[in-house]
Amino acid sequence: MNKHGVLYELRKNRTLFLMALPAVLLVFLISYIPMAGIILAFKDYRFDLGVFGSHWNGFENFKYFFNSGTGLRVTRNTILYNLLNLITSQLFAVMIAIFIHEMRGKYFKKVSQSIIFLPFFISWTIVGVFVYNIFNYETGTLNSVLKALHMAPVNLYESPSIWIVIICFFNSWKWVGYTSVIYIASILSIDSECFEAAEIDGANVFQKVFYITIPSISPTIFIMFLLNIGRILRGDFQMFYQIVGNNGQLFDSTDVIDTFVFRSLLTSGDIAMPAAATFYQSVLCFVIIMAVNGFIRRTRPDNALF
Amino acid sequence: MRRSNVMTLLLAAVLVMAVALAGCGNNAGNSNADAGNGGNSGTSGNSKTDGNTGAGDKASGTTDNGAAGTGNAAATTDIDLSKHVNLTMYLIGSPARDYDMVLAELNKKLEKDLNATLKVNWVGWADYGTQYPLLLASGEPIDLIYASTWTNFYQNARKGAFMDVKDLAKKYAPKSLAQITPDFYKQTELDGHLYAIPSEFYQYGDMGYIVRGDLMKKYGLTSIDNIDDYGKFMDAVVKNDPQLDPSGDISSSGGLESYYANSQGYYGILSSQFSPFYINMDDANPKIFNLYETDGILDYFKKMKDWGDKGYWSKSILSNKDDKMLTEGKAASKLHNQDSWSGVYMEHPDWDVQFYLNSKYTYKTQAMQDGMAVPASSKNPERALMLLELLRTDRSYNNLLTYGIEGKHYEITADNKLKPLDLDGFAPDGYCSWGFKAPELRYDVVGTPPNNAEVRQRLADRARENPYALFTPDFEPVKNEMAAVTNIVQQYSFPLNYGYVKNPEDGLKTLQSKIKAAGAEKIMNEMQKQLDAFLAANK
Repeated sequence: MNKHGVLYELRKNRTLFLMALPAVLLVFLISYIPMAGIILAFKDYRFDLGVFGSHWNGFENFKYFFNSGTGLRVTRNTILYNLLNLITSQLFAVMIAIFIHEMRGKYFKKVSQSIIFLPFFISWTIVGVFVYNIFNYETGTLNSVLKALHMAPVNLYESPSIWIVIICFFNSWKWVGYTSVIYIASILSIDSECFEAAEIDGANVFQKVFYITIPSISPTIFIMFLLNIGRILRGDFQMFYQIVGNNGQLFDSTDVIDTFVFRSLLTSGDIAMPAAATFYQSVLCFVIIMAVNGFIRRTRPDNALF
Repeated sequence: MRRSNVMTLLLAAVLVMAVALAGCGNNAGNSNADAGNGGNSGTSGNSKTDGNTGAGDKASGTTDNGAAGTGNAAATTDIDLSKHVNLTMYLIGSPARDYDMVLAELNKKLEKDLNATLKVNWVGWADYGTQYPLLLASGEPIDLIYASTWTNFYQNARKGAFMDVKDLAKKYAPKSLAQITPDFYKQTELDGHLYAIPSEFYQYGDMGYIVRGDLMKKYGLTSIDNIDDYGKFMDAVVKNDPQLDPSGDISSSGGLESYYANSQGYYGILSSQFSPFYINMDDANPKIFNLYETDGILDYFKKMKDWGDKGYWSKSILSNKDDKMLTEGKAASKLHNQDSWSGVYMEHPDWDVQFYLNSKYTYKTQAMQDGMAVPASSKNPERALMLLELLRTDRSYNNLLTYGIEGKHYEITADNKLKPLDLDGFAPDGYCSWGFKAPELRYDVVGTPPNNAEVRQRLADRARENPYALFTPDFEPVKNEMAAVTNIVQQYSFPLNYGYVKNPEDGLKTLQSKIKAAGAEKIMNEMQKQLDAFLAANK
């Protein structure tokens, strides 16, 4: 039997392949089979004819997206938001992981970690209500406090740029506990002898963090970065829709692909046009992830995903 | 060291995958449902064989009950009811507190008559514009759904969202079919298909001003005849009752724009949400125009800027989703129709709530103002139509979903009027029972506004024959442009309508250029073409 053939591989590692089988099946079922739906993007969908029976219509479904220049604006917004969210949330997650790791009191450590994790369980719908009740002009918490302090109330719904900060803040607030778990696990796997040796050599906390912890967890940081960059064109619809809603004043700085598509097509009930937008996102995602991975493979071969 | 690093990466990968999968879950669910559409024949085949096993018992059970004399036995004898089915109905709004109780009561009867169980799901007011089309697109099996012009019935029907019930209804809902008058039938029919059964009910509808009469009296105001009078009312609220929100508006309504257009005698010819395209009813040869290009619109937006600054509505209204501000005592008025008015009146008789007209003309409501449709995804269209038949023609069924449970939620007075007993539990006619409204089964409600008849007369006085009632535009040739315009309207015109744009002149210019770039000309030309063809055909 050919020593490099597929069959030989399969036989040699049959236990490993068997173990991977459920996962492979699941991915196939959930990620590959629905991919057939891509053809919807090129069809004139009718409810009664179904996905495969509807007629082809070329690139017709893509037109609305680029019609008035909005497509490019929302693509830009989507990418910038995701980059910003990626950087802030990963940065905070690494910081929090290091803080928690350096904490000494066992109970304090557990309690603070749980509290930081908690927002992960709060749905965006509820967060949307929080946001409205904090920032609304007449009865919001923020303005009530300002008025009590005899300061002029502010109308944040008039200043689109501030929402970049608000959205980034809530995104980090919600995700940081979750992401930091990964980094905490990564820090725990660092050989404690390194820290002990450093201590004997007289390194202080900062030196330990910068010369041991961060270099040791950098592979994890790269992996997280790569995995997230694949989603860079997917606006977190829940987050944007619940926090901003249909507030046209803020669209210039808060509109992402997903919310724009949703809003444009909500009255038409056409599902082929959103499919076209999703297809566009997927193609761009594919290009970006290949490019970034290729770049990392060249510069730091050990850290590339594939 | 090496090994533990691998473990960490694995953990990282697993956690990230978990998130990714959770995200995908929704998408996958959708596409599965779509696939379900294609594979319909397979599934229904299965369920048939399932049903056969226990059919013997069930069948005898139903015939017994039928013989017991529910009154519908005659209609159902030759129809196979041996298999129990679950029916899903979607309505718009939010359910009454006691809706589950009422539904349980209905299901007791339904179990006997149709061997079916009904489940009612709701699409909230704040989200119906978005959720309703998604429901139809998702392919989720729905058996009955409320349908109306304002839920874009014709557009959805054209895309095959609903089942053609023309032939099915002959067998399963014959009485309802016979009830549809010829002109209503003609209005509902689309390319020779009957995609919904309209409720046989019309009135002269108008979106007007619902305001608290006690406040009017307090401020010494006598009537509201136009937008400016409404402004005076709101001004008085701001000055005298600052704790109340003067307009109680919600974000999805788009402000006073349609009020402005209707008061000018303009008619929204495309009957589509967020469309700025109107015709002038005073014009013998109607020409479709863009509202944002008309003469008075800048003055109107300037007025809105002024009113917004004066605090006639919240500065955060575009993010507000509370649509019960008036009834909860947080607002002084509301913009809606006469039915909403009687609802509020009855809930708070002490407020002496009044309804004032706004539009220059009123029109007889269209057939598809209210109706029920069977979505294409329905697995049990026969049973769905039979249920609709019961709801439309059987008083006991109609009363339950319209008025609640007799003796608990209402009683019938000696002069055959309906007296609500528990408005918080179930307010009459309040829960989307309009789709199966049956005039001959209706009661006048005790406690409805005393000037109801007078308001109705005033509405009828402004009535005008609507030659465009049957015009149902086909958006297919301009769907890209419509999508773009829909988006532009929400982004640029809503803020103008609430006076949030610092300089209305610049704001309007931006809006105009954006709408133009989105393809307004193309839409107007195409629609004009269709309108002309329609008028020529109906001469």
